[in-house]
Amino acid sequence: MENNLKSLRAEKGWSQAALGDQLEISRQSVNAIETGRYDPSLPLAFKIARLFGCSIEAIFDDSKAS
Amino acid sequence: MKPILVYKRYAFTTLGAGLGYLGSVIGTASLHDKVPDGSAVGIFISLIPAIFIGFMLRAFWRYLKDSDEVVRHDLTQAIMAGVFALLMLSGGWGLVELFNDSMPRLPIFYAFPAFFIIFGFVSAINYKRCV
Repeated sequence: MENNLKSLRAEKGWSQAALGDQLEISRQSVNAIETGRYDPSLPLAFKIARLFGCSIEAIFDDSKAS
Repeated sequence: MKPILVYKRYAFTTLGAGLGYLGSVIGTASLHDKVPDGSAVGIFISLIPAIFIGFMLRAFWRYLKDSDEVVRHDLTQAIMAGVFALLMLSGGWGLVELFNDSMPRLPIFYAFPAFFIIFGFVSAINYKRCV
């Protein structure tokens, strides 16, 4: 699943580690989500959406997901 | 607890248990000829390395429980790869030994290093993909 987490994070000027701290996940986990290697669970997706003040659909795009 | 602290606790416990295991295996091997075969002391000494495997299990358990879902996913993948490689080795080579008397016997002791070779390999790949 594609996402625009990297650009949203860049807009805020946060590093992967800083975002990870706020989401209570590791920097490697932020990287895995940003690169699309791992699709987050629904609770984590909600947490991410709440942090950036937008909907899950505004961050994650499942139109290309199989 | 912060993810980095969870990882450090896991890494230090696993490393400590690994070194303890290695030391106890070397110690057990060096005492092998000095202790009477089949004695209670000999059996007790041989079981000491298993205690350190227990420590590793505890470290893995806490790490799985306390880490985030991505780390849990990667660790589960590595554990599965290690377990199934071990099953392939024991199931495959076990039959080779059973039906071919001339083949060398693989001691069950090698289950531990066999698991960790594959586990470590898959963990390293997963880690490299996240860096």
